[in-house]
Amino acid sequence: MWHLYLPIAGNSVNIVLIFIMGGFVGLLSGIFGVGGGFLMTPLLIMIGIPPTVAAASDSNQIVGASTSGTLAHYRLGNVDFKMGIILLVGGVLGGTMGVQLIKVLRHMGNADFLIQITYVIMLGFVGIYMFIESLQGLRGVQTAAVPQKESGYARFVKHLPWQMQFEKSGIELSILMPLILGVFVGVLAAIMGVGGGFIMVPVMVYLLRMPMHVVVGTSLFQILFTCINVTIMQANTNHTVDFVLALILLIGSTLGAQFGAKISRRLKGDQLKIILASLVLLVMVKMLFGLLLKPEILLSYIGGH
Amino acid sequence: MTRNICIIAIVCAIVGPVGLGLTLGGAQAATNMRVAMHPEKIQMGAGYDGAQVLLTGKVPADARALVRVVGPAEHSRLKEKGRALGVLWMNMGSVEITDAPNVFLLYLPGKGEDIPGAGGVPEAGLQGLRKQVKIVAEDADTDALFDEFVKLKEKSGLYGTFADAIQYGPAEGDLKPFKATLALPASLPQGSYAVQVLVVANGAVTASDDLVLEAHEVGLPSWISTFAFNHGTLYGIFAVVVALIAGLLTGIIFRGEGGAH
Repeated sequence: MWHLYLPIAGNSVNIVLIFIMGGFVGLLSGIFGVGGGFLMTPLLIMIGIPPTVAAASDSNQIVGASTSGTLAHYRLGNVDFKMGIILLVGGVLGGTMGVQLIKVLRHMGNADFLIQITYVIMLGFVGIYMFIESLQGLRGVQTAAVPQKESGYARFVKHLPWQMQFEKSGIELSILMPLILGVFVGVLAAIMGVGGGFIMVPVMVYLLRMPMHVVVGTSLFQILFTCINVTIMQANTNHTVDFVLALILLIGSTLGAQFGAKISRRLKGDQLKIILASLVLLVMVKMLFGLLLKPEILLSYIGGH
Repeated sequence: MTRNICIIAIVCAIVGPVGLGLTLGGAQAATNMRVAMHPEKIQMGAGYDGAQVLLTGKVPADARALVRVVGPAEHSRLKEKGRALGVLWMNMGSVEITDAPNVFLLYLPGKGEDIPGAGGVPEAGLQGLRKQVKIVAEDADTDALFDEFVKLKEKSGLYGTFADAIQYGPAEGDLKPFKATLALPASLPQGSYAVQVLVVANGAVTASDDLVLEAHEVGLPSWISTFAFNHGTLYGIFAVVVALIAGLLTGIIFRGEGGAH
């Protein structure tokens, strides 16, 4: 009796299970400011939703989760709108370039390999760096190390033109920095088929030097718009958005995101970072095994991964 | 009785065009099986979670009955995973499969050990299907590819062989009644399916009867499908707006309950 038939996914699902999955991913989304696409899509595929429908419906769900999350963080004063909008402009430019790049690669026949390798390398690199850095932070080693390291990179950043004050984040930066990094994340996100939150967060923390709590709210703000764009594009071209599935997921995830934002406030920046780093590494290891172990079924339909 | 004959007459008239090219060599048209099906239509509403279809009829006392549910033939484009650089599994070759039905379910009277041999009539099962399916791939081992294709289909519940699905009653003269319980998966696509009753004697199919089973979305699922496929952009905007409202509402509710510091 807890089953519901989903016409776009073409299968029936357990409402309670979907709700719990939504809640869990929403919680993570609220705590870390990641969209959760890299977790939710595999979970949905596991319970029998076609990959393309899983990815598109997840984008729809993230619209709701990140609205709720952005609102919660905005009230706590944690959204840097100026930074978010510049990153978004870069992200849209990069995303468009990434989609074209994928088209060319698919034509050459090796896109899937590039996608998976990009995932493993990016997740591995980001995860290990964050993990080590936050571990040092928790142990209190870092205070001495930072000022000496900063010089090269900081001097380069300071000499870029069009310096701008970002009051919310308390930093001064060239407008080129978030724009170029936004493009970079947009390209990667398009190649990997995700919102890009889990790359955007480390980029903001380490390359833009924004404080962790502002990073989370700003990242959610930026993801909101990315996912609105993706949802409408998918609904228009591929008809893969399952609105009912997304609705159940997002009731779970919006509730989860509210709790997440509160938990996020209680945890220290380094604690947040080390948990996110572990999560990223876990997904990376899972994907690496997926590449190394012989798959259960050697055939797959074209269109999803 | 007369009602059953009527049903057969109607069904035979419909079955003609749905032939699907899956007829068995040597099988003869049904004469007196008097197969009745309930329900005759599957309605996929919001509460649909797979369906059970009941078939009743009579077969000769010394024969057995098998039932197949076969969907329309489809063209599948797939990727085959292979090893790159000796260690990494990734999509390598393209595989095109034609003339394979989108759904192929076989229901047997016997126990689980009968499944691999399709209840003593391999031709009625996957082995027979293999001969009809065309596979085009760089990989020359098309039999192995067919096995992988079946595994992929079985995982989504669209192919399958089920034991213990058919029961017989006590013989009445030359005939014995049978009752087949067909479990259909929740993942069944909308469409028209051939329900084929095969009469088996001495390891060969001696007669068969085809019925048509229609599966269609009704109610909310039907409305959503129509909206999503006919007005894609509007549907996308609608989905986004609902998500935005739901997100804002939870945000407001949570603030109302108070915990904003």
